[in-house]
Amino acid sequence: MQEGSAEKKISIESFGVRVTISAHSEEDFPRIKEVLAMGLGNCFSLIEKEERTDLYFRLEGSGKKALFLNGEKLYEGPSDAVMEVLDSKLRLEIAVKTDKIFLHSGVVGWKGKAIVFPGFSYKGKTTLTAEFVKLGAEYYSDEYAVLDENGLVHPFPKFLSMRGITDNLRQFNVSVEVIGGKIGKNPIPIGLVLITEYEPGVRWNPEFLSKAEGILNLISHAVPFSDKPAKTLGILEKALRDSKIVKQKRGEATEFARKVLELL
Amino acid sequence: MENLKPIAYKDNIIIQEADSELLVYDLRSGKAHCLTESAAFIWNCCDGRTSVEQIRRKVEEKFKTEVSEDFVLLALEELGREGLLESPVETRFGKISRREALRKLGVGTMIALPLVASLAVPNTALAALTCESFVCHRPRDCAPPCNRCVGAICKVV
Repeated sequence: MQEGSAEKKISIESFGVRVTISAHSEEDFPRIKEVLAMGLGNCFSLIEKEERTDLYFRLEGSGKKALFLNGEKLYEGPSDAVMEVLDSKLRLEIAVKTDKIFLHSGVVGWKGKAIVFPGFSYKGKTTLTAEFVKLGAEYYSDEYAVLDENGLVHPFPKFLSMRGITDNLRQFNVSVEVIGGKIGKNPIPIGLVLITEYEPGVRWNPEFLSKAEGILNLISHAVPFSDKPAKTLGILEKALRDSKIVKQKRGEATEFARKVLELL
Repeated sequence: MENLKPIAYKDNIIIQEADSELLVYDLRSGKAHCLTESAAFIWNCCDGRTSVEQIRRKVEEKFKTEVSEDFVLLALEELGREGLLESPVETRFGKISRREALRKLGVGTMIALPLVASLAVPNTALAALTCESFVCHRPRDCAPPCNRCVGAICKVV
């Protein structure tokens, strides 16, 4: 189908947020479906009848494409780059719009409890997630810990964003099954919050923090904290009710992950 | 200091208890504060009618241990520094470093010191969270720390 033909739409709901993506070009739809499956980890359902939309993404053009969100142009460029923007914006905007609390964090499940390790981009969340998974932990997410009103963590098993395959900047999406992992299915309570950053050769000497200190460490990772501070603080207090909070720099990831699992 | 009757600043503040400690988010400054149990107790005593000496006695009663006036003054200085009092409190600790004051008070005190740990929560929370919210066409569209345009997204070098 070429430019000028009828617009097609796909509508989904993810964490209570309704999203519509439209395009004129038929060839865009397999890519859009791939973005949804990889980027949202199948945490969405298709909506047959579009009643309202919180986020309306529109793709225009063939060859060079333009991406709009709620009428505002986000990006114009080659198709691959447009899909990359759609992928990252989709997750971020859902995180902002949902009534759940999204913490920028890696999450795995171990013995029925979640291990949550917050971190900004490029701080090794995916590397550590992959190490936990290889040691038998269930995969929940390498990007967001999704907390409900009771403080339970829900799976958000997007494909792992691995770097270092071609270079250290470009990301590739890899299914957790590829590294022998399995996906956690159920909401679980947090058992351990791990405040960590990479420092080569560091000695294992974990510092246990109080719950309030733990919350203080988490709030700047909430998306976005300043929009709903009271709700976020209340949910974090519930989420950390029976959790250990540990601060420890990490050296080599495999050995570190093994020691962390022993804490639960 | 005997005439000092501090007043806690509690407008535009969100308070969350966490066990015996307190999380306080100041909507004016966008800063979050973690108050230890004793700091939280002293903050709640700051009603403009209670003197430093009266606060000291209340602390002793609550924690069943002796504390000095300096203990209360340290709390007031911490709270004042972070804008959690109506007016900052000038104490004798102003002349010495915080570390020295803590060392001095820490010896012989049976309860955890009244401290306030603070963190500025960025207004542009999304920017702090992830570079991937920044779309770019060329390198100059990106700014530190996400200062390299890779594909269509600004990334950290």
